[in-house]
Amino acid sequence: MAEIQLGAVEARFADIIWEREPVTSAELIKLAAAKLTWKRTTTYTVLHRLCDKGLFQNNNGIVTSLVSRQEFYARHSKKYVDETFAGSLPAFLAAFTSEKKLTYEEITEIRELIDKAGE
Amino acid sequence: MGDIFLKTLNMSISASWLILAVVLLRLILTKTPKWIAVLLWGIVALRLVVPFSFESTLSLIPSAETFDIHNIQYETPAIQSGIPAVNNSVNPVLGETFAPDPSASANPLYVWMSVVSIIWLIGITAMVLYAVISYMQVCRSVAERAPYERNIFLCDHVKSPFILGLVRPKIYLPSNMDTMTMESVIAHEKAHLARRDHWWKPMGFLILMIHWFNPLCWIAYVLLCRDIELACDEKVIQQMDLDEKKQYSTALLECSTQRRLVAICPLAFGEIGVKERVKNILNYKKPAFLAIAVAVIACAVVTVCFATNPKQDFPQDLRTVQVRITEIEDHSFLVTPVEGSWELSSSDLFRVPITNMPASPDPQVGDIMEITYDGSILESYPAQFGTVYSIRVISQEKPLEIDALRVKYPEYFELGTFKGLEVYVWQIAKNNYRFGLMQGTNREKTLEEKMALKGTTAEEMALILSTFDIEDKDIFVIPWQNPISSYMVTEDMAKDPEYINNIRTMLGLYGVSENSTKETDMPTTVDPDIDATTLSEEQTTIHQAIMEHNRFADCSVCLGKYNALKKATAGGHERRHNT
Repeated sequence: MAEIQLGAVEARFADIIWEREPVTSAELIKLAAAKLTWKRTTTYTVLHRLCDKGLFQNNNGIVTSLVSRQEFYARHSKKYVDETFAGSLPAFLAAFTSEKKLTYEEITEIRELIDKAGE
Repeated sequence: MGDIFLKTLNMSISASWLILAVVLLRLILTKTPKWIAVLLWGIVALRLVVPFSFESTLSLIPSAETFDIHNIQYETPAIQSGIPAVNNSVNPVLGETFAPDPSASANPLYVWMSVVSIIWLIGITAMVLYAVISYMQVCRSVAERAPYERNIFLCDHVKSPFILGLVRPKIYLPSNMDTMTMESVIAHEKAHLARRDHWWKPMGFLILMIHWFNPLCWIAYVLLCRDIELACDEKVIQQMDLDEKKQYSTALLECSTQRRLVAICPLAFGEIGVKERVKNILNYKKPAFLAIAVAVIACAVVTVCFATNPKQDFPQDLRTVQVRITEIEDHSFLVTPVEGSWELSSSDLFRVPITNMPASPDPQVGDIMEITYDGSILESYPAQFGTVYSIRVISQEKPLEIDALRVKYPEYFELGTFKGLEVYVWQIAKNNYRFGLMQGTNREKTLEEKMALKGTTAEEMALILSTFDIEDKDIFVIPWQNPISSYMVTEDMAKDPEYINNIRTMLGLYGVSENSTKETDMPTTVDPDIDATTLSEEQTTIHQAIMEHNRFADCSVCLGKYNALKKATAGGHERRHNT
């Protein structure tokens, strides 16, 4: 089985399913709205994504897990994704934002600045 | 549309001076709190959107209105940048390239300007679209969120913390942030909310949308974003000790934010490097009172000098004069001030250039215009008004129309001319004559016939005579002492060829006709007591009778009145002799 990675928010949603499974998607929408302030469409989108990752399955509106909570956390030891969703902003917007990461030298330089302050 | 664009362009140009001043001031005032810089950008923003400003003699802005709307529409285009060197180099080129073409309905530059206005609108539309699309994209990406604290949410799909929303702003944090960093970041974002930065920044972007064509506005927006961040940092660290500051700086480095407040201001390239912010934080000292005082004074000076418009040199005593057009030349009018104008003491003829004129009505010779000028007169001949501010046509002379005269005096148009025409003229005041017309006969006209004549003015009679196919010499001018006329002319005067000639000239006739000495009814003696210029009580009554006479033209009525008046007048004379 391929490595499954979840963001912190996705993990919160997955927890809801693991708690209540088997759960109808209608009930899931209510729960997500109450606990996560999600809209119906958001719930569907994320559920669809998690099913694609092979974590859950949706059979005629009944959601059940393919990987149990213990199994998942045993494998990932609660390590969330570092990689953030790159496609959230359109490419043309990204072009305007100075996306360049700090270089290693720059980080060291600033780190030194902070450490030496007040000496 | 062109007008709005031109107004915006003028505002943009005058605000550019303020932007330059603020940029310079920012460089000088490094030790002062950063909120002062933000305040200065606020003044810039006001200058960019408020279409008017106070006038001040201290203003250092060369010109508040570089492009004059009126000028571009009607005249040879020229800019008034307020800098002579710029005007001198630009205006000849402008004038040559866009000289008004009299055959075209609008100035070429005016047409050209509407094209530019459309480009301007397209630019604004693009900016708005960009903002809306970005906003929707970000909204979508934060739909998938987990509540953290009251108005703080975690998101998997954002890279750096930001605030979204104007009315109920929410703070969004990347979900992979560690707790230590999060504390500092939340403090920073809360400071943003307290400072209402989630309003100021979009507002800045809104103004940038309108002024997108001005590069200085882009620079101003970038610097505003920097100053907002620095000011926000300063607010957060005000009460912090060194360790806390170090922790805050580390947090900054940890998230190395490059896209703060991204959603409410899509163009976040104004974000400054972490290094500059860290330096600013670590070097921060509570600003001394003196530093703040100096900064505030500097701001006040900049505001007064660059946010106000230069005072226009309107003279204290604008004068307005009414003039009659006597001649229209290619580029100027020749005008005569109306009777009683003070300007007549300088000259009876003025030359006025045809500028600053409304397109309609089209002035004609004889029209009365109102001219507002600075009160000075150049004593040449024709004289000239110093500076003319406005010219306005206030009354247009209505040309005499023959048709109107046909209705008014129908009997004068149905006369036979084989024995010539007789024009009877009687004087009702010193320079005021009345004319009546009869066909020529061999006999002398009876009093009844003459009394039936309706009096016309000289202009009217000249026009009536022009409708007859008759030679000037066959028109006889006969002075007549109308018994109810108010003005006395001696017989000698009436027989004077000069007198007749003068009247013939008035009627547009030439040459003294042989009948000029024709028998007249002139009184042989004139009562010396009667003052010719003032009207006695009887004469006033007579005047009224003339008016009525002209109205009814009914002989019997007039004759009755005439006889009655004659008695009264005679009585009056007797009384006068008695005293």
